[in-house]
Amino acid sequence: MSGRGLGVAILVLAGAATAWNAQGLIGHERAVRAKNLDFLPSPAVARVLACGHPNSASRLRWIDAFAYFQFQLDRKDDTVAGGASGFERLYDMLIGLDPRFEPFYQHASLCLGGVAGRHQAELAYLQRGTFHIPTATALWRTTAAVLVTHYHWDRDQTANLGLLLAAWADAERDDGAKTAVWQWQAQLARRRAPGLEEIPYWLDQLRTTSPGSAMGDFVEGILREQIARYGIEILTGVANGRRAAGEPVATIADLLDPPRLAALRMNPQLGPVVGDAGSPRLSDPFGHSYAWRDGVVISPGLELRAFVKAVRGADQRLQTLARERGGWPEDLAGVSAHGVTLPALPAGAAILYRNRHLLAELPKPSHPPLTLR
Amino acid sequence: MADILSFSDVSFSYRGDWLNRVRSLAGVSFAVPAGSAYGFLGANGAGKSTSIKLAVGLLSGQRGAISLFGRPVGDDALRARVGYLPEQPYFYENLQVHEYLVYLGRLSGLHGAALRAAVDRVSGLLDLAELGRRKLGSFSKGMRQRFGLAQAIIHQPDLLVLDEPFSGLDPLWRARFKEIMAAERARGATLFFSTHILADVEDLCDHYAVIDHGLVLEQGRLDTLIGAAPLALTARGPRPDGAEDLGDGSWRVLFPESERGARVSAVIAAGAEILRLERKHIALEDYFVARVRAFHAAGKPLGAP
Amino acid sequence: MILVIAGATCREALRSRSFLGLLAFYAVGVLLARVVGWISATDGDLVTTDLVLSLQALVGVLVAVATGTALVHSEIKQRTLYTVLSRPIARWRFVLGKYLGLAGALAAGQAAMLALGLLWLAATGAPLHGALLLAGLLTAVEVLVMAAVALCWTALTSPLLAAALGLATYALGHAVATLPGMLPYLGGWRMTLAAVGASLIPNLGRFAYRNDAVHGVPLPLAELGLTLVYGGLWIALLVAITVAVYRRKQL
Repeated sequence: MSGRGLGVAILVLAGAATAWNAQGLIGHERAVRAKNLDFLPSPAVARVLACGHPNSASRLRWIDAFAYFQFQLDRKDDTVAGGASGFERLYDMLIGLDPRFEPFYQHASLCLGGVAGRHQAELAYLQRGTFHIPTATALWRTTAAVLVTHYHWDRDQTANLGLLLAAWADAERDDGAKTAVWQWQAQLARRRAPGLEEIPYWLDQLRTTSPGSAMGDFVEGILREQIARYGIEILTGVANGRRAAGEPVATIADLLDPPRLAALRMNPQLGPVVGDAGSPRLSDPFGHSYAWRDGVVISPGLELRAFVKAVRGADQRLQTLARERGGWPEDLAGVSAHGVTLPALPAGAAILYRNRHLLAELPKPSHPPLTLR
Repeated sequence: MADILSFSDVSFSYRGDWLNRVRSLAGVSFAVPAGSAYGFLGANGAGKSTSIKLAVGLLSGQRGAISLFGRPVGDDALRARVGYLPEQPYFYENLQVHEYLVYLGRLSGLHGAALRAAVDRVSGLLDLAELGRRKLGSFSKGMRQRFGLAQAIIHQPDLLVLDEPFSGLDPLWRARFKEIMAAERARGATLFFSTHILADVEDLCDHYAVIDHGLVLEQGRLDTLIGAAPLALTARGPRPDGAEDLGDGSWRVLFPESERGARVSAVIAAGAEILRLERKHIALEDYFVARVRAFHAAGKPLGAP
Repeated sequence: MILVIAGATCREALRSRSFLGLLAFYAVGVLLARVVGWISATDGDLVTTDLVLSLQALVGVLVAVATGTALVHSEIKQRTLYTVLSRPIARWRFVLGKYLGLAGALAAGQAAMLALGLLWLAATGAPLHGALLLAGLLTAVEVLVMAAVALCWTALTSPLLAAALGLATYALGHAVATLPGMLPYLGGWRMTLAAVGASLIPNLGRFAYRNDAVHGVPLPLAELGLTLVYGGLWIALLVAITVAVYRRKQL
């Protein structure tokens, strides 16, 4: 073979090898991992295995663990990772390797508390965090938010809450941060509206996430859901008031009733009425207009969100069945024949079958969604 | 002092496989007179390199006595007067010729202007001046040998110990090496070199020793050995008994030096025409082979000093 | 004489392909560390800084073990040391010179890696502070200790086994750092045995200030001084053992 021919052969082979590799790397969805985390070593063993590089080992392990969380975010379920012990084993190991890395505690709080609803476990990690990183303002704030939101310490344990806030203020280094502690307490009273009790907690969690990240999307979704439900509650209150007064409700526009909204002490930032004073409108936090259907207030955004979750659940079921049967259906019609029940379609939505996965296609919102960051 | 290097009943063994000890030298004794050119002859694996390494301090732990410049060989300071060229030398691959010579010159105690002059001198002698910036990793075997001799003579040692110095050299550089070695000897250095090529010994040496299987079979002055070589008389005419017919009408007969007069007279008296009378140089190689074979047949050393 | 040998050794090591290759590997690793930082949901700069400092240590140790195990052994094998030791050089000077030369080359490599790493961090917007420099310095001392470990192992066994033992010593040296909290759980003769065994291994955790440096935890000067002395002590011990072995070794 001549030198030129060999060079061409090398180029062709290199191109083929690179393309083959790239095909496996580019254009993939976020991988959902469902492996049991029991293989993780204990913190002491992990420190030994890290061979003097506990920080780097913990970071790489943590990044590798991101793939677990999508499943849990969708299903609010951590049993796949080994149950309650799975994620705790992960966080114990990570914190054992580097107890001064704040995101570990924030992650533990969000996953165990926000996703799995295990707020006691969440509090335990937050407390460890404030012990190892006394100046971690976010951890202190989240601790206080959990105690207020889920344990009602502002009502039932005011003295202990005061002690906690005093400890927080004492841990802060500069005067501005110390003052902010008491401002936070003052804001609590203003944010206490029925249906919005958890909002302060979720807003704190939102601060610990990055825009566009899986966790960020999850928290934003939770916030919008709660705000949407709040909006439904307010508008339902308006509708009930009108009916009681003998005033008909024919369309959703009838519920744009400023006096009744004021009487219900609607939160102006989070309420269902958006837009400026000259042209108010009723919009859910997802950007869709509230609807009046069969005598009930509907948030289309909330409906679509439930639809997306249902489609994801159906897709999970499809993947499981396909692996068991050794084959995927050819088209959407075949999906039903495969034994997967498809959810009902909300207005404007569709279900697509692409690359062996079920995808939800949603209508575009008529307005920009509520800004949360 | 009479002898610059002497081995006195030296035995040496090293650890082989599985804790076995391999005896490399078994009671070696020889002496290198100061100012001499000493050829150390032997086949591969005879013990030449082991003896040389013991002399320059690379090996130790021998039984028997080795003295260098009249003192026991273990003294590091003695090696300042020794120049050593190892067999098939290797050098650091990434150092350049010039910087390597400076490095080794410094280790030999040269500094400043004296070092620079020495480097220039040996570079010129061995045609290394133009290769000064080349790394030794790119050198051929012959070039490495040239560098090896350069580093051995850079500090003008009193004793030059060369292990197979002509290995890897073409005929031109073999001749050059011999010139340089002769020049060193003329300067006053003592030459001690090992080889398995007898012609090299013949060209340079006045003393010799033959080693085989860790024993010195024979040693002495080379002129004595050469003097013992027979004469060859080539003539035409009446052929005496035992003469070899050369096929062109001439014949040849061998006889020792002591019979020269009688033999020449007899040939003339018989009416033969003498064409040539010469000493048989090739007898040296025959002599060496015969001696080694005789040793192995008898199971004992011959001609012990 | 020692410095003359050190100079030649340093030059030879710095010009070797394997040395330069590992530095290139470090450069690629540092680039990838930035990518890993991007993947991290938060504190990407901290993640990158951690990885860059770890790379300096890991590559440095690899270079130290690879070159340390080959340093004298290859000279014996390839007979390059014949032209040196046939000169009026005591073997202990030769071994010490070789180590100092290797240490010089490794120090230069560590400095280059640290500079490159910090420049890359600065260029990508990661915050820099003096603690990172100190962390790099102590990592360099750790690498020099590992070079002495590798040199010592090679004096006692073959280069391949010495490399494996060197890396095992690295792992054990860091494992030893985690022992103090665990020893009390043993009790009795087991605790004594473990303590004695651990005392025979250099505690490399003393040099792992990088784990605290990224969090801005300050290092007291006294502690820094003691750590440097500790490193020097182990280097002196290991080189002395190496000298003792080579004094009697047949070349």
